[in-house]
Amino acid sequence: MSTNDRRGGFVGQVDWVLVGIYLILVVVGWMHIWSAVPSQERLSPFDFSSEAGKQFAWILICFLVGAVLMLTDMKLYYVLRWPFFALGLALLLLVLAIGQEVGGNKSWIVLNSFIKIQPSEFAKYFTALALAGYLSTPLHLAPPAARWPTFFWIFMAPITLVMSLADLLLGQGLQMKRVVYWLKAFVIIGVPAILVLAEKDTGSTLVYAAFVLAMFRFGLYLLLFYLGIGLAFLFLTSLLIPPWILVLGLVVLSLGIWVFILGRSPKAILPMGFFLVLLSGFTMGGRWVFDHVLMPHQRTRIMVLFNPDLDPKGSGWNVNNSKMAIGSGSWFGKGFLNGTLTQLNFVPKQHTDFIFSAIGEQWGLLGTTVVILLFLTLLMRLILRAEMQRSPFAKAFGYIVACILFFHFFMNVGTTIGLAPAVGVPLPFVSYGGSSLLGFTLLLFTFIKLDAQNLEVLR
Amino acid sequence: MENRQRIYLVLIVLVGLIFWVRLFFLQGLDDRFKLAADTYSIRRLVNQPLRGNIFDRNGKVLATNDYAFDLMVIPLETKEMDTLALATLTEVPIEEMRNAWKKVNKNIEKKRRYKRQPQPLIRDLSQKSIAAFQEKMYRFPGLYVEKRSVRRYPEPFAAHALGYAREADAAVLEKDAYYQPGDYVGVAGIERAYEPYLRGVKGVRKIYVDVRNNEKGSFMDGLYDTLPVPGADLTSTLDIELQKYGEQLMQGKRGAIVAIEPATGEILVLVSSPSFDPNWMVGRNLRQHYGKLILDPAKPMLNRAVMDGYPPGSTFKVMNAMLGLQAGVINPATVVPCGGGFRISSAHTVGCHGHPNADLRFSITTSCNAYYCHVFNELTKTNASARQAYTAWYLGAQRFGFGTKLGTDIPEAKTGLLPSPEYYDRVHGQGKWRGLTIISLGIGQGELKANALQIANLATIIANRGYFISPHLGKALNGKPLPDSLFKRNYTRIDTAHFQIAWEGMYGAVHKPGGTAKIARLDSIAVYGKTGTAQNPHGKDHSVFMAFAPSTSPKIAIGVLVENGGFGATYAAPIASLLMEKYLTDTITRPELEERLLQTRLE
Repeated sequence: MSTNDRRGGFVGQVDWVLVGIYLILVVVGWMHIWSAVPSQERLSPFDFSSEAGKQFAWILICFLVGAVLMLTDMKLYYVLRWPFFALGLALLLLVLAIGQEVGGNKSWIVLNSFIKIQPSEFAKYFTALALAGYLSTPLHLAPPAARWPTFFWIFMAPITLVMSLADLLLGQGLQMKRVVYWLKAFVIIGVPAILVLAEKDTGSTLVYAAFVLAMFRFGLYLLLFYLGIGLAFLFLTSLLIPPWILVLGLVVLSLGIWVFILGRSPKAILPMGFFLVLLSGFTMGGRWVFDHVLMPHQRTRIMVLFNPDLDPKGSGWNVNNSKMAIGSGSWFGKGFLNGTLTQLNFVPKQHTDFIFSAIGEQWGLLGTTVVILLFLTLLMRLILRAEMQRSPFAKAFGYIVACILFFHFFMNVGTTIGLAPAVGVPLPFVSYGGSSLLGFTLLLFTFIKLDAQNLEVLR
Repeated sequence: MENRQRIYLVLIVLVGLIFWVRLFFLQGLDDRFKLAADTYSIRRLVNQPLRGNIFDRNGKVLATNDYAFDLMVIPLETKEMDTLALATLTEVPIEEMRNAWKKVNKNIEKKRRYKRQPQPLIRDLSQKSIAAFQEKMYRFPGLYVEKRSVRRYPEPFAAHALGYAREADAAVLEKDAYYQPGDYVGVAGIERAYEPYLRGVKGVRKIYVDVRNNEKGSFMDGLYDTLPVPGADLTSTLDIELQKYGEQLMQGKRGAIVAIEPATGEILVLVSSPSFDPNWMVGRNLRQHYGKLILDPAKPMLNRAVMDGYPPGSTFKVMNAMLGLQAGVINPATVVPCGGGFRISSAHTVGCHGHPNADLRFSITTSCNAYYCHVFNELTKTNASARQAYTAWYLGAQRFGFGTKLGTDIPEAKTGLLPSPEYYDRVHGQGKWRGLTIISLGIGQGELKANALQIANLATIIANRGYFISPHLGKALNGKPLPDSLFKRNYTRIDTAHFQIAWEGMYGAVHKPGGTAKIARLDSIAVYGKTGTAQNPHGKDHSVFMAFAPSTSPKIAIGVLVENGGFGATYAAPIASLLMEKYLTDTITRPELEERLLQTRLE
């Protein structure tokens, strides 16, 4: 299907596939928030004193917000991106000042006993707008590198060095302008990320990696992408086998690449050597950090990925019970409202971070397959539509939205089935929580709005 | 740059695929989780059945169930509270209350209990304390009262026969998987012997629980739930009125009484003195009472009626007479000159008390030592070897119940001691002993040990002229008589006719001049008795007596053993006599004798 098929008129311009998936996911989430309590304690799904009822209220608010977004003009977002970004930062600062601690994170602003908001969920939206705006000016049109204070260079030295060496390795010669262009992008992401980290909200901080993921589409060094995957791989394997064996392997691999792929190019020796030292250092250092810097509970959180029985009553408990709930759902599930583990509080946070296990228990493989297919469709649709955007702003925004949703999907579902460490991020549109639902709704409907006006943009 | 779009699509599909494969294994192929999930969230609750009642032979209630009230605590829900006020309110000593709290906290510290798990603070509070507490309950959050069924014994008698039921301890729990902590289990006497019938069948209820163990509805709407089946009511053979009288007569004396209905083997009375109130073994003051009972040098917990016992003394002579007659070494007309004793060797003589020369009948009446040394000597030298001869006697005595448990249903029953040939081989060396070495067996002394049950059983055999039915305490379950096959008829293989002489001799002992038990005589009823004196190297001899009455189809056979009571006639015989009179006529014609016995303190 291509954009050109869509006929004129407002209704015809809206991507109803995205809206449809959104509606399905929201309703599925609401149903399962309602299901995930013991039957005696289950009130009407519209009763505002229950979580399902509150979610219903938030859903109505989000529908309203979505409708309002449809009535705006896409230029508004581009114009207001910096004020919005400033607002986002202000909210994050506010939460640091007056925020209250809920479940270990000091990331909530409590208005009254009924309404709590989590500004980090909105900060994602504002950061997305700002970054999309920044990326909409491509490298070759970007203004010349400005002067940066010295401390900034020191601070950004490692990533600068890596990017510079990437330039050299690719034989393109050092392009300082490009390095600075991406450095600025990192600053836009880094400031809110650091503020969120200050709230001790690890999960929400990690989400900012999703922005970096989106940046690759717009020319960020792919080397960083491979480096990231490589480092993650090295880190995890260094926990299983002695780091010095890994380092030995790296040396052999580098020599192989240098001899057989780079044709013993003398020019490659310096950058190759640098990456070898970097990776080896990371391998040894990563293991050292794991052993000496991480708290024991953080260590086990990672180690349970390899061995879920490691700590069955402690940090493995959540994941174990979640896996047990999902596994006990079997092919077709126990039936809606007939779950046992997810309805009897055996799975913690079963209406927020572990809502996927409630679906898995009640609907079995059938249900989980449907949810995964819904997300795959949503994410691929977003990428396809983003690619078709004529406006660079809308395109960048589309990629950012897709990457944020992808990251949440990956971390959330991965946690419930024991494939990702439990960092605690919500499943978009499905998990309980007004702030996150509103944040995701803003992201998605802003893109739907931008997409709907795609044809108005002159090529 | 456009081809970078593909990276995103590949990444998304790849992650989706990995997740789906993982879910396919987790949900589709792996069965482990389905089972684990159920054991995780389903709890089996046990409904305790009411334990069966125990009645005496006339339908009087001996053991039943009552309610006890425990003060329970959920530590998580408690707030700072006034321990002193709580102690005053419930009438629990403040020290005990403080210790109870310490114990609760220790249970949590040691992770034996969770903070939200209820645990008992004080057990078995009185109804009055509970009422007072419940009025002020709002002041003590986290505390509540739980009702629980406990055993009560309305008659404070027959502790040893009834035994007691109490909460299963670690040893029981380890041995028998049926019992769970908190279950009642019979640990002695009837309560133990008939435990499988008395305990009933537990009911089971399956419920869903949440992660905090709170109930969240029943499993499959109660499809697999079962109701508890109450335990069967047991009618015992005891006559509690007679039992009570026996215990009163034994007050201040150590010893035992056993009375048996000869025709059935039913035990009418089983007294072990000193005794205690069976209620002491249940309830709040158990620990205190138990400690006292365990430390008492008189050993009230010991069931003296069935313990290993003491030499049976002269009562044993009647059996030797029967074995002698059956073997043909004597006949009723055999006269053995007494002459003040039986000479074993020039240096040793078994003394006697100097009476006219006796025939068999008179030897029983007068309990002649010389006569029975002669009988035993004859019995053990008839065969080629002394060992063979002794073995024959040994087997004969075993058929009279000595050295056996008689097939009784009393769990504490001991065999006593009837020395086997091997025993003497060990003591004296093989081939180095003969009848004369162990001549004291002839008169019921020496290594022999027998208890009141075995002595009463000997009287039963004579009353039955040659057999006994295993003496027992159980009579009927839920009104249905226990099957006869449970208590078998044991034959002595002595000709019935031989017992005539025993009857006559024992009649003479009570009713004829020269008799040793004239004190046991009843005016209206023929009493057949035999005294005995168990030699006691540690102190005064033990007084032994056995008897049965009346002459036509004897209704009661009795064995009495009074420790340090001297001659059989002194205490054992009058006690037996009073009991028989009470049982057969329901009156006491000799109040001064009764009074003397009630007043006697031998401790």
